[in-house]
Amino acid sequence: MISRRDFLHTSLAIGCTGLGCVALSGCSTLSASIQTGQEKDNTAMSAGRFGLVVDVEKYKKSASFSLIASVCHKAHNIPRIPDDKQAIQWIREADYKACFSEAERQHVGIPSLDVKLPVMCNHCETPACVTVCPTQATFKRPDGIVEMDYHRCIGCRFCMAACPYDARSFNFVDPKPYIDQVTPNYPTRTDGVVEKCNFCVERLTQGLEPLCVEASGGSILFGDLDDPTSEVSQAIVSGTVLTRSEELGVEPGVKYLFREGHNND
Amino acid sequence: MIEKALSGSRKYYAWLAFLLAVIGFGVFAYIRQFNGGLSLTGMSRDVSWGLYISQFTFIVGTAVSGVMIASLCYLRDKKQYLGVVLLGEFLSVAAILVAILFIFVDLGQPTRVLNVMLHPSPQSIMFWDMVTLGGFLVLNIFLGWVKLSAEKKGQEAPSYIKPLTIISVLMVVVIHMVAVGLHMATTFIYPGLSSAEYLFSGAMAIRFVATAFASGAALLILVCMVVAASAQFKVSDKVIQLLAKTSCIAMIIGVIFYILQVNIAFTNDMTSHQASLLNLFVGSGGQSGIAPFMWVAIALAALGILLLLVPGLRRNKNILLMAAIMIVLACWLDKGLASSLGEFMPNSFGQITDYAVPINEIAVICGVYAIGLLVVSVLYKVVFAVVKAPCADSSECIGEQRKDV
Amino acid sequence: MYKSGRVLAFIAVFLLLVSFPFLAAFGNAGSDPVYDLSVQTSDATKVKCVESTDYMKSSHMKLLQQWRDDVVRNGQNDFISSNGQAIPMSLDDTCLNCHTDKEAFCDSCHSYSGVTMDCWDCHGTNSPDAKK
Repeated sequence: MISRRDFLHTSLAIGCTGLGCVALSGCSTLSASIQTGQEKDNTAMSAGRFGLVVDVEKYKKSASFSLIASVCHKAHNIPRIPDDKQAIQWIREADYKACFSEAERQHVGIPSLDVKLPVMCNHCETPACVTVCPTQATFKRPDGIVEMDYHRCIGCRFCMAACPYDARSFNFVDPKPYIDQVTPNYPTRTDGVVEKCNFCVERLTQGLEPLCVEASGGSILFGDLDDPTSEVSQAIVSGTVLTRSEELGVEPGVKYLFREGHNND
Repeated sequence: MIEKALSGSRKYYAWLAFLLAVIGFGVFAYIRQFNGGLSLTGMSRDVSWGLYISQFTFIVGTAVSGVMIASLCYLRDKKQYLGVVLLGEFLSVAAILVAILFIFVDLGQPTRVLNVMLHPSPQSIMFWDMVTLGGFLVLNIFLGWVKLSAEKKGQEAPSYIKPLTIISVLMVVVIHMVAVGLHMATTFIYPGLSSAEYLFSGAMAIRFVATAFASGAALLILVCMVVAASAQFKVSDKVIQLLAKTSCIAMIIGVIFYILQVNIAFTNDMTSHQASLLNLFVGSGGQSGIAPFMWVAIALAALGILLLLVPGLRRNKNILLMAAIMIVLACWLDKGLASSLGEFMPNSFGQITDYAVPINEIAVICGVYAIGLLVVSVLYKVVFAVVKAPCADSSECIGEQRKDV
Repeated sequence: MYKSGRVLAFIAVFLLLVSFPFLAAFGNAGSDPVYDLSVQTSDATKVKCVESTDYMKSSHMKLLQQWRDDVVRNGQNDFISSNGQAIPMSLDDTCLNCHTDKEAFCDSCHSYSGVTMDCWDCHGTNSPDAKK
């Protein structure tokens, strides 16, 4: 007669093995019949590293942030959450002083300007968010864009804590009821995932520039930072360029340009 | 042996029933949160990690430190310190479980939690957190249970227990490293300044670990005192004094390095470092934010250290109890409340976002702690039934009379 | 048996709980799912079926998962079907473009079989009841 203790131990062992087999059986590789092709789409934009340059003085003169923000937020089905504290923002305005530390400004001889600058995800070269994500739900594409996989995100918000630029927003509630006007053919997100600016990847595949660039009246430039002939690369060498929190060493892809001979406004 | 937890006194059943009721409330509150989203907590876009994660950081440090000290004692003298090491191991089992649960209730998409294992990310410190905590949990369950079984059979613990205990001690060191690493991966931003200087300082790392040991040892003292009073399970005074001295020294180290941090920041005029500290201790923009809690923590820490430092005071049971509570409370206020929340304030626009704690969040937190208390009560019940601790104030403690089961 | 009264009582409770779904639905066989796999677009000439009906019936979930990973994580846009067509991989733009009535097309079978889909948490914005 088997003792109760041995019976329990044996059935536990069999149970675990059984569960393990069941679990592993689900790990079959996807059928080989599914092929996907990289059709060389001539219209799609490609780059070594996508980047953005904000021409600060031009922006101050000719850009309307409310237009830029509304275009971006509408196209991406970003909700308007009634509680301001839990707002979802892909692009925001930040006080000039908040963007660059005093030491930085004095060092490069740029006076304080009275302007609010557009800030969004910097798509850093060595993104802190990508390093800390425990599921690789946020990852860096070969073209430099830091993308989000909303299917995989577990909502731990470590990326939000790690991002030095406060670029990320979390869905504290289901966003769908709070979207003013749903843009068809672009998904929303669901509650419990983190989201952020994606440099309008969906537009890049069609050869279109990001919406903030389009709506900026020429004050925000977009292109390949690795290509010395691109608009952005040429803009960078035409004046002084600052990036936010440079001392952290994550090398943002969003640069703020101050042309020579700027005025004290 | 688990059947020993199924029978007990009236008080025991009443305690379990109370805990189950609290757990029930917690589960109900969590279901509300699961359906309604994390908006049912006080968290916001600026304060994206709130009380759940701050409890996690506090518990992890505290849990593993207590058991490390107990294990080191056990390695020196198995007989004398069996009681305290069992208390420590099962306490850490419950505490790690609580820590894991706090992470779970904090997730936005908890049903996807297995993604962490399906898509392992060794570059992420959180991945290593899960691995080391999970491993430590299993190790402690195993170690505690084997020691207990050996004690019940009246045998020596098997030979593999010693190397495994050493591994568990080393794992505590690793867990501390991972915890510090996780804390340092977070950045907090103030107008134009990041918290890098404050967080990435060596003084911060040492302070983090030192306060963990201080609260871990103090918590173990409290546990020993509670079980002595409620279950007549007495751990030797020698061990309690050792824990008290450890806690005192660790807290002193923690306070010294905090003072050093302040010193470094202000004498070298490190603007962002200063900003972080001022934000914690003074608040910002006219609002005090988290500052009152920091000052209370300092007062408690100072008093606690004093009470533990003076041998005459330390040997007095009542004073020791108060001192241990003060140390735990001071560390909790620092790590579980102020540092975790205060570092998010002010946000990059200079505003202090208030953190109004909804009842739902409190209910979930209480529920999680109640689960921990339930696990620890059940495990301790088994320990008390198996291990006889006859010592009053003598140095011998364990092992003479074993309950016949 | 030790404490036979309690043991038998709890076994009885257990059996009751386990068989509850069957007892609750006793007599209601339920009806087969009413699904409609027909294509509802005038543009049917533009894109032929992605794969055969049989393949879709057996493997549409694998196909969709592969599409999801390829588009989001691998940056690819087009799927080469078994008959050589290049089809954009998009739930909203491709699948729902033709199979516009998600209730008849998806929900009817999925509700019946009890397989939850969370696609509609985010996708499906081009259907009239997108806000639901």
